[in-house]
Amino acid sequence: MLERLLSVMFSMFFISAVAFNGSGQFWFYELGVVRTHWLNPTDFSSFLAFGFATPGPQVYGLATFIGYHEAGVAGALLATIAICTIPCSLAIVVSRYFQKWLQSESIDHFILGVGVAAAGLLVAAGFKLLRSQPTSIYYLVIALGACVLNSKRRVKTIWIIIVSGLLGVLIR
Amino acid sequence: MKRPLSYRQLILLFFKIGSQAFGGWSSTVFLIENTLVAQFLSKRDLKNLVATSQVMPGPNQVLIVAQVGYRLRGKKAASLAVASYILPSMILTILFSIVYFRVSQYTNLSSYTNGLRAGVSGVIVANGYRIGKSYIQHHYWLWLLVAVAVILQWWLGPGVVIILLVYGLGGLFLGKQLRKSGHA
Repeated sequence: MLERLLSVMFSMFFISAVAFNGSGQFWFYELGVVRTHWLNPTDFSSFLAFGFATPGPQVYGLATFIGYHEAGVAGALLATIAICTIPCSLAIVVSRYFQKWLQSESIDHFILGVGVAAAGLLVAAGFKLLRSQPTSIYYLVIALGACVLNSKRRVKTIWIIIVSGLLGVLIR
Repeated sequence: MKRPLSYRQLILLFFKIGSQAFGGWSSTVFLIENTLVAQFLSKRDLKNLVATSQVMPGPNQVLIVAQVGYRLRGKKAASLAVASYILPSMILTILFSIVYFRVSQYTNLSSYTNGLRAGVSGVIVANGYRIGKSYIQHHYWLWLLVAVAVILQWWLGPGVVIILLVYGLGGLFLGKQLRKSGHA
C-alpha cells in the first residue's frame, strides 16, 4: 500500500512539473492509462468529464481518483496535494525572486516552442483515446462533432460532453 | 491598503471562489478582482501574477491563487488559499470516486461510456487546436511541428519531456535569430 501511494505521489510530482501550456490532459493519459494501468480509458473520460462539471481545474479530479484507486481516501488527499505542490511552490519562488527573468523576451519564445509541442501532445492524447473505442462511424462522428463545436468555444464543454454521453447510450 | 486578511477570512474567501470557479481560469481572476483587488492587491500586481502563471507548469487558476495567497500573507496563506480553493472540487471528486468505484465493480461501464469517450477525445483535440492556434497565430508553418510532435510522442512515452525541451529551446533559438535579423 505504501509503495503504491509513493508511486502515485511521485507520478503526480512528475506530471505537475512537466504539464506546461495545458498539456496536463496528455500527461494524465500517458502516465495514467498507457504507461501504468491505474486508469482505463473509461475512467479517464469519466473523471475528465466530471472535472468539467466541477469548479476548479479539470485535471485535478484525475489525480484525486488515481490516489483513491490506489490508496483510498488518504491516497486521494495526498495525490491531490502532490499535484499542486511543485507548480505552486515554483510559481511563488519565481514570482518573488526572478521577476527580471520573467520579463525577458526569451521566456516568451521558450514558452511558444513548448506551446507548439503541447498542442501536438494534446492532439495525440485525443487520438489515442478515440482509438481505444470500438471502431464505429457513430463514435467518429460524435468525436468530430465535439471537436468542431469545442474549437469555436461557442458551446459549453460540459454540454458537449453530456450530449456525447447520451448519444453513446442511445446508439448502444 | 487595509490591514491584512485573517487566515479565517482567507480560507472562507478562497473556498467560496473555489466553488464558483467554473469555465477556465478567467472566471477565477474575475472573482479575485471583485473581492481582493483595490483593497488588498493592485490590478497591476494581479496582471503580473497571471502572466507568471502562464509560463509555469500547472493549471493557471491554481498558480494564480497560490501567488495571491503569498502576496497577502506569505507562505502559510498561499497553502491555505490553494487548499481552500481546491477543497470544493476535491470533496466532490472523492464522493464521485467512491460511487464510481462501487458501480464499476458491478457493471461494465465501458459499453455505456463509448459516446462519452468519443466526446471527450474530441474535446481534447479541440483543446490542443486552440492552444496551438493561440501560440502559432499566423506562423502557419509551425503546424508542421505540431504534426511532428504528434508522431514522435508515440514512441517516446514519458520521454516526451525531451520534445518539450527541444521545442522550447528551438523557440528560444529562433527568437534570438529573428531578433538579430531585426524582425523581433
